[in-house]
Amino acid sequence: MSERSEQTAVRGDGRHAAVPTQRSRPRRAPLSENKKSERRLGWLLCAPAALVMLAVTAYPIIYSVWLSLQRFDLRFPDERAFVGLENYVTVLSNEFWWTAFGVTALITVVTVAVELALGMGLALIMHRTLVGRGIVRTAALIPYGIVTVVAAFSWRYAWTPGTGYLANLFSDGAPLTERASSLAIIMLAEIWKTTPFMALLLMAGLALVPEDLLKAASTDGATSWQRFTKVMLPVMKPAILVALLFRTLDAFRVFDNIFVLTAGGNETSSVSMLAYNNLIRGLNLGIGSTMSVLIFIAVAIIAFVFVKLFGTAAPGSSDDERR
Amino acid sequence: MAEIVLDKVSKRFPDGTDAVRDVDLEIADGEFVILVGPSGCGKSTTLNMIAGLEDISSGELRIGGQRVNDKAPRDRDIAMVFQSYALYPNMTVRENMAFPLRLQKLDRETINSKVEEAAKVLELTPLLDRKPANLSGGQRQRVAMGRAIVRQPKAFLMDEPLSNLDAKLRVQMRTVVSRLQKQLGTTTVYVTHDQTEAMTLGDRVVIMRGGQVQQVGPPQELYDHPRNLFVAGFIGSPSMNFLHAAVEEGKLRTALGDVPVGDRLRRELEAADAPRELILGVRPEHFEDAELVDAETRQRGLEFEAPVEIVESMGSDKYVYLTVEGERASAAELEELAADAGAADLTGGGANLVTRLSAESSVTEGENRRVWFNLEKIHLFDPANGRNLTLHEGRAAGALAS
Amino acid sequence: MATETTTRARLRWGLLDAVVVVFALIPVLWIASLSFKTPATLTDGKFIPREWTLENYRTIFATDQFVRALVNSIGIALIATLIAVVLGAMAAYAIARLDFPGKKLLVGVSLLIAMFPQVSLVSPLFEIERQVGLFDTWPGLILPHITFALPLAIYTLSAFFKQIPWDLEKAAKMDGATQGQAFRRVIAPLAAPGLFTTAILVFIFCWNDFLFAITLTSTERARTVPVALSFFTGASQFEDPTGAICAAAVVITVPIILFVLFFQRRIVSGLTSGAVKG
Repeated sequence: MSERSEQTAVRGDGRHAAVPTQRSRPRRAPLSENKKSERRLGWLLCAPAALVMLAVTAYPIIYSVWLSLQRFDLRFPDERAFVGLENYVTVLSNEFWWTAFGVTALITVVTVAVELALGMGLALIMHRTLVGRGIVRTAALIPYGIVTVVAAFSWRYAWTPGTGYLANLFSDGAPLTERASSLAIIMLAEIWKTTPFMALLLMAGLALVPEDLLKAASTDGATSWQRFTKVMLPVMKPAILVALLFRTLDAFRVFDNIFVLTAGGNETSSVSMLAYNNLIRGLNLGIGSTMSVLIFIAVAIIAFVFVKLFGTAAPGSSDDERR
Repeated sequence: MAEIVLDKVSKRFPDGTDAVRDVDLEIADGEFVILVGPSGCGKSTTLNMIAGLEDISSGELRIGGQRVNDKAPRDRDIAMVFQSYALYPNMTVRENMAFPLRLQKLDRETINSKVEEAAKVLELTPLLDRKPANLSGGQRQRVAMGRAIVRQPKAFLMDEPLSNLDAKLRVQMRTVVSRLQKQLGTTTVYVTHDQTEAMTLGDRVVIMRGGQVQQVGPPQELYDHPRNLFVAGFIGSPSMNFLHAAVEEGKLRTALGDVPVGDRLRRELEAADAPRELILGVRPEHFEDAELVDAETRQRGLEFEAPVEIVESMGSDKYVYLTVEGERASAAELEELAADAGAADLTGGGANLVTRLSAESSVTEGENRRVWFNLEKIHLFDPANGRNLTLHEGRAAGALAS
Repeated sequence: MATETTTRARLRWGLLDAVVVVFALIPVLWIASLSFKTPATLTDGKFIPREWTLENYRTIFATDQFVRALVNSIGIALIATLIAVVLGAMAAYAIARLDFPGKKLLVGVSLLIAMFPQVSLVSPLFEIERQVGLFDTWPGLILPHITFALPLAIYTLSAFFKQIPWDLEKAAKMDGATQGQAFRRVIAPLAAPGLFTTAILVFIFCWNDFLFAITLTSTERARTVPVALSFFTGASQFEDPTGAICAAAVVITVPIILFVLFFQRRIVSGLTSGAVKG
């Protein structure tokens, strides 16, 4: 139809003899010049960022799969050899790995759960407080901004017998030399550091809850708890899921705090800590890479489960198209 | 100052959709033309093509006799007022209005005097040193207008400039726009989806649907002589009533009774391919309380009785909503109009009539009332293609014309 | 009566606020307190120093170890921030404004990278960088920093860019501006706050990094402060490094605190706009 009308338009007006030749070009190529140049510009602008990101992640992860299939210890470079899945067998049958895995999982689950509860409270305070909103928000941002290592040192000295105000307060033992209390302190440090981030994401979700909706709910007779669970939580669900996903994957990478607080002693190593020790202390590239690959797979599974469970709520799908 | 000519202008998007198809339009120098239609009808795309913000896929656009298809917006010498006003938030009102002049590299004194003058016309003088964020909606709108008039362009393009204002201010600004345009005498193309603005503002109105022009003409002509169902339904508020009408033995059977048909219409309906089903269209003001109609007038119309659902007294007259039995008229055009009004899913049983009766009528809610309507003013449409069958040489003549 | 309830409500909120502020600040104040303690009072376990001294600060600025690390930290973070913001702005502009195939893929990939377990890259990057000679150099750290800062930059910037009323660009063109003028005089001033906010967030991210810094460096050539802290031994072998560590920690905390104090509102909007879209 449009094709025909275009032809009549051309034929109907003989004055513009130059026009048809101009117009025949876009007919052969389905895209107009404008559109094509828009595409080209889009690719051009994204290319540098995409290349850097891929070069520093995709290639190394593939390379690390290759390394994980070799016996490769930098202390004995002559013994380098292809060994298939032997490294995986070694790691997966090693109790240190499973202890570290358990520690990581425990830290992840506990910290994310506590952070969700605390973060929700903090978000509510930041969102609804009547006094000192600016001060609260500024204060809450400080843990987010502080270098983790600095915070970790602060906690370490706080719990060091003699030096620390907290150690003296609680017991006469040395909490950082016992497994249970060490883990508790590691989790405390993690929670302190990352709750504000959780709270900020949740606060953004809170801001999406229309005031009128809450007013309507209270005129409908909902108590404040019901307003929270029946009105606010459902509206906030996408924000909560995004925050949970980000924090879970982030918690799984726990490293800095453990490094400073216990250096992995007393069976408090996380998987990241273990991989680091094998690589830098042990200089065993084969085993280190195997752990890298296993951690990558674990994180991929977590992400996959999140996306599967919550479907469209996953970030990225919320990317809205232009127009 | 210049005339604008659109010669078979079309816009095709890369995904294959035709946003605008073969629009022919000649806008005279100094004329105020309104492009109106439901959302997605191509009116804004047409305006953007005139502005140069969108490429023209085919056809030719001439401003002041010159082909401008390939000219950048800044070489076309036209000003535009945006729906969002598009005021530069980092500049004061003065700087906003001076911006186009500064781009023309005029000297400081000329710029100042022009800005002051435009500000005076729009009563913006006390606001000149404020930032847009500190202005009310109406004030922002005036600044946007000011920025357009300050450089005395060949033409103004306005893209729904009043739709972000509240109802009262919109009425007020409508007169401001109208007065300004007359005062300056600048060719103006104005896009709106509001039929009231279309009726009140323009010298001529262009009604668009699905990228095509439906009808062009002065507002009153479009109101009285709509070429098709879509135009009839779009223009007028409250809108025209549409009822199902079956052609039977030279008569039209409708929910309002049997409508007699004049010779001319009869000939048309006797043709082999003539439709058997029609849509009857009656404007609210062509109804009247049967008690108030004198004998002579009564002959020119038809009476029926129907239960009164709601009476809205406007003071000057009464809007009376009647329920009538029978099928609702259905056609693609009507569905589109309903969807545009956001009422596509509001389907009650039977059909509702909106009538506008004299204020003297003693009609009350809940009663059965005899109501008269004028057969000379009714329209009949072919549901298949929407054509107005009562139109003869461009004039509507009702059902009885011979 | 109404005033009474609001007073009570204010009091309750005030109390909650105080809890939050104390919770957030105590570790910071504690390490600052330690940094001002004299060696003699360092182990007294008191929260507020009994004797104040600047000795610890003098010590760390006298050591090459710390000053080098500080220079490394600042240089690496600044360069990485600059590059990440420039590349991120280009990609974000394309994502926010242009229509091209592969856009969704890019958004997806950058999201994946944001969630990527950084430790998985440690072994291969260690080996690759040793082979190509990037190990223990500034670029060797800048590259991974850019990579993991880019998703953050792309997300926040594209959210900012989407908020810019792009009608203004059209308006500027109608007012007679060329594409360049429209960008320079109208769009750039509006985009600046977004770029600035993103730069702060990216800087904080790079400044904070520990894992890459500790695995991809081995000497003072590229070692950043967080890593140097964990290797601090004090001026002599017998000296307790605690005071020095705390002083160094305070020094690298000050810029962050200043950012947070001055740009609180922007940081909040930057962090949240990228993550949750309304």
